[in-house]
Amino acid sequence: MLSTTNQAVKLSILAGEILLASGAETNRVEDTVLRILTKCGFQGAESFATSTGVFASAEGADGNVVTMVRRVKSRANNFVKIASVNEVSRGFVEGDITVEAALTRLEEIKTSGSYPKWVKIAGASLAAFCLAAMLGGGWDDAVSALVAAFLMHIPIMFLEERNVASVLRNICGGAFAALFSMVLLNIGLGSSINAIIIGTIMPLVPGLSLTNAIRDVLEGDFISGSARILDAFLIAIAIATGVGTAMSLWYSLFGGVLIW
Amino acid sequence: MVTHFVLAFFATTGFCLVFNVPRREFAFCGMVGALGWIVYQLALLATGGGIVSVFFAAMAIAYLSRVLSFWRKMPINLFMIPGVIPLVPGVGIYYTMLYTISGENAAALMRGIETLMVAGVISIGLLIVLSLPRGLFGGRRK
Repeated sequence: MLSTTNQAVKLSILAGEILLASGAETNRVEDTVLRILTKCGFQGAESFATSTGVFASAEGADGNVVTMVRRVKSRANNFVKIASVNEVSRGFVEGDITVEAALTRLEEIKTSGSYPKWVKIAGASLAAFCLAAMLGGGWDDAVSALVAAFLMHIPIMFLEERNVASVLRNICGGAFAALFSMVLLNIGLGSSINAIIIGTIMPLVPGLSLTNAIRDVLEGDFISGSARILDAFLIAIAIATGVGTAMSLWYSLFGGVLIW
Repeated sequence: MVTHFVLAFFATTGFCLVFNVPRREFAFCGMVGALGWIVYQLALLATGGGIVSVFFAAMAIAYLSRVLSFWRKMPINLFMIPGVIPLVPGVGIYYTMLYTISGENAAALMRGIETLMVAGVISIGLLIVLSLPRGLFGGRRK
């Protein structure tokens, strides 16, 4: 009996861990863990998740209580993983998949990768191109933002691989965005520095944190919600700091005025 | 308007690549982003107020995402997050910073407040639609 309790808790915590590490909102994590445990027949099962860790606890028929905690240290947004875990948990709850099959499937999902880096950079550059044109730039500005966003992601990816803190990463991102934009403007690509920089920094803005924060607050998870709002606010300030520093330095070194 | 639609579609699809959205959902995400942006542009024409327009666009995006998440049986965030990013006040962040470093505190404060208001209005818009009862969107979650 104990082994099945163990396995059920293991399965649920693994699902929760993958979800949390892939950038799912807290409520989804708790909900999935609880559904899996309830399906296994535990009445007093409980789950609890914050933005940095997940707990699951269940009491077996023999009265033994099994509790597991997983700390999630690094998070990367990966909707493919969230969607696949969702599929597995739905299949398990509906009784299509056994515990063992679900466990192997989740292990597969956990080790599966994401899109290759160059695809992500291409996506971000495409977004920068479109957003520069949407937010008041001309086509020349859009092309310039495309190039600047591409160049900006090279140092960012480098920092990401070395697990540099996200604040510092965003300061660097903002600084490089401004730097490359101004270099491109000065070699004649683009006409409005504002439009180019805005397009280039858009892939960095905290849309994910903001949206997840709202969902957490709505579900009553005020701790994760406020943590994520703080995260979004910090990212925004970090980007602004980076851009501001680079622009101030540029103008004090090469002259020129800030506001046209 | 057509150009804006196409641009918003591809901008959102670009973010799908960054966020690892499953490939078969790209077109749906793109549509959410594009329609949200068009709602924003139309509201801007009708009311002239940027903040009110963002509010309507956020509600439209949340509504579309909820409908799609039932239909496609996918987490709602998958459609909502790429869709909402064009509305996130990157412009506001930039100008607030620009006025701050050039010492124009009054203008910086005005832009800063506007930026916070846009962020708040996105939240409220999403929140309103997300807290509507599930029955309105044709089905059960999960």
